[in-house]
Amino acid sequence: MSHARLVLLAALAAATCVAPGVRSQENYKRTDSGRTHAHHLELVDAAGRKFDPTADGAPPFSSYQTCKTCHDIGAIEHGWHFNAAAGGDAGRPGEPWILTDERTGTQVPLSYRGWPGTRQPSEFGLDAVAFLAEFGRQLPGGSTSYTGATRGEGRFRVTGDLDIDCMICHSADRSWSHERWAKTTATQDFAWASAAAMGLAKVEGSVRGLPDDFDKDAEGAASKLPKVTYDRSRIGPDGKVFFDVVRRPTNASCMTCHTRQQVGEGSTPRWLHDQDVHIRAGMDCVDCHRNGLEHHTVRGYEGEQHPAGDAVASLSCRGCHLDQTDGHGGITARGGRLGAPEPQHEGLPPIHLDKLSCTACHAGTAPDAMARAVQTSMSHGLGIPSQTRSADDLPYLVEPTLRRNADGVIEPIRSVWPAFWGYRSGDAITPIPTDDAFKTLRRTMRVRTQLRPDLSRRAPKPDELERALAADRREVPEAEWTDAEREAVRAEVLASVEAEFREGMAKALQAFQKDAPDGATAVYLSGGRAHTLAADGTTVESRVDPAAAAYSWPLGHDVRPARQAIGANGCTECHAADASFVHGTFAARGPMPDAAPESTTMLASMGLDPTLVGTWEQSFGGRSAFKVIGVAALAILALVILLQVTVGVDTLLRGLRRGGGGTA
Amino acid sequence: MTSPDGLLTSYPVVSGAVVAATAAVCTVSLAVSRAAPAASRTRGPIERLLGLALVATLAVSAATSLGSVWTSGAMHGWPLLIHVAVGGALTGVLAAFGVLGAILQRTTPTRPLCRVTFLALVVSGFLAAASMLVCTFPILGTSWMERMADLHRYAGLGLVASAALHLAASRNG
Repeated sequence: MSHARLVLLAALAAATCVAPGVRSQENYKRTDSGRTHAHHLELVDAAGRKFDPTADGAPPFSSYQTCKTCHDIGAIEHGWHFNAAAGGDAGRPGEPWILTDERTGTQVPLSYRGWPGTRQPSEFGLDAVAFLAEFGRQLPGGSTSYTGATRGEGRFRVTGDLDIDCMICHSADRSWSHERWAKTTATQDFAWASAAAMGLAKVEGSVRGLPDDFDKDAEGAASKLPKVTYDRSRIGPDGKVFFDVVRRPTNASCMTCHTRQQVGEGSTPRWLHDQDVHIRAGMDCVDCHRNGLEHHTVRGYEGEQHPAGDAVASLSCRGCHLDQTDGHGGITARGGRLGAPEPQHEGLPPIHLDKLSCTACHAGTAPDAMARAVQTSMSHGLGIPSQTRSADDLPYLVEPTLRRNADGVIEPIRSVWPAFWGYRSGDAITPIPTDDAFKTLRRTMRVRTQLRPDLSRRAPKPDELERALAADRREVPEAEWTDAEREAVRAEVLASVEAEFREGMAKALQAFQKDAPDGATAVYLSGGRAHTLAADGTTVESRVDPAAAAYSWPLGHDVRPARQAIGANGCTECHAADASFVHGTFAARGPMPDAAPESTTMLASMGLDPTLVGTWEQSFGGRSAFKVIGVAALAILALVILLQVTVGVDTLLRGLRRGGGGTA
Repeated sequence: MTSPDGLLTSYPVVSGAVVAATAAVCTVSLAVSRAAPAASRTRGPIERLLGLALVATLAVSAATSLGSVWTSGAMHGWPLLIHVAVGGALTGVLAAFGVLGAILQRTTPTRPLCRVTFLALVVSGFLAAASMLVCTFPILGTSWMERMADLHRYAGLGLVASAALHLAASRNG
């Protein structure tokens, strides 16, 4: 065999080895153009069959299957938004799903990712279908990759899979309806959700009432399934449908699930609230939170390890605004991407940049004397029209609080305190599923729709007014009360309501205790405390409990501009006895009425030494005098140096002259 | 602009070497002076007091800074607070010591070595103090402040060395 033939055979063998990878890429179409392709597409159903949408009994189209014709959805569904059940590195703990049930006073952070402090949905009796019905409103699909369920198995045979709907993020126009998506997922009509949300078809009926063993293929079964009627005006003469697709999702798409708003007393009205400074500067969310085809969206925190091994350090705050160095003066990644200015931080000792995350001073709600209540899309279903949403809705989220993270860096966080009924056995608490808990609470505490008392509807009783107001003020109309009087009355009412609640809770705990497993104790967690029956068996005792501790996650937005950052007005914005950044407080908040909630200072939350902090604060009182004296001392030193140098030079010159005279 | 990180990372080693070398030189100098005592001039109470204050403030400043750097790699917490407070006092003491030294050198015969160590002392002290004082004003950005911190570290080290050498040289007349 000639040498040339050997080389040819080796080349063929090598080509065969790499061929599967090459072929898999070639299966998918690419334009490799900066212009977005015009997507005139044939519709494909969930089984992967193309169909005529004008035909009677046309199935719901599947966004997943329709897009799969040209795109590697198999790779995409391993992306961050879809891969919760994939295991592996779950990254920095983030915003959880919060199971909320007003009937039982439940607010529990859930996650399939196993973040410490969260619980698995299955612990509350939520199987994949129930989870998707509860949270599908803010989930871009992915019933198998997100929940770990098997495709088309169990009840999914009836509901269909909640496949990834690419249009949630990649729709260019505003026709994709979050409201319709939420409604169809809540009724378990997963396979119909894409068609309904896109407005491509009218969907009538629901599978929710159908039994788990419903046979779709049985005679007459089709009439019991939702009926799909496509909008013929959107179907082209060739039977194709135009999908207005963008490669880069718009900010509005991100806001579907990532909106946050301040609520409650003292919150800034929406119209007065500035957006993130980056958005105002014309940037898009995806400028930093970007991803490739595999959809491993960059989360943007420092130290993030990208699953694809790509370098993403320069997409964090610090990485984008500052150069990354190797510790020896070498630059490993240059900052300034997208025109990011280099922050000057004039007068801010650099140690602050080691001790604080950028977000501590620049992001989220600015710290106030008391941390504020906020609501988010994922927790409160923002984006879905509601006439009843109020600032007092569960779950209670509080921001900003500050903590020292595992790297010793202080960062701002948002917190939720878990609240649920359960059985304690040792340190472990096994939750009672909400439907089971409700049956007992309905009987013992007369709960109908809401466990927590509605304080806004509770008028003060005469004895409460008597305790709260001076004798000559009790007949004064409420409108004429002073703020202090109003607060005193509110406190009295709250104390009474809490006492009434505790009476009811004792009965509920007694009832739960009867059904308790051997050796277990019935417990209700709320507001950072565990509430159990006291030794007398008729009253409730409450104590701080690690199981009731807050689950917190770092917040990154909205970023405020430099002049709005904490500390921009000087050192004493933080180094002062009245500085909210250090001395602000936050109270654990749960559904149970609590006249004396568990309260913590930022100082304690950050793990700072109060004596050290106090001494620093006092030192700033004499800072101006310190500077004046320092400058004066330096001026004296400068004169001494000048004098010494002058004398030294003079002596040297004299010596030289003398030396020169000697040799002449 | 980036901080010359190399200066920071090499500081523990450099400072260790400088302190060791200074200690060695001072030890030899003291041994020599004991073996062959020179006639030393009488020091007044103010000079003694200022010398004592200089040694005390410098010792605390050096202990808080070098101690932190050698043990944890960086200064923070109580050592930093003490360093800042005592460093401020050191600046004042240094100014007074400088004035007194300059007067004494004009009025009493002084060995050239003492003049050199004295000049090194006031120059390094000036640089150490000025590099930090300038950072208390909203003038410099982070990069320059990091450079100032490097300058402060090395000037402070120079101050420790020159003060020790100056005291040793002064002891020898």
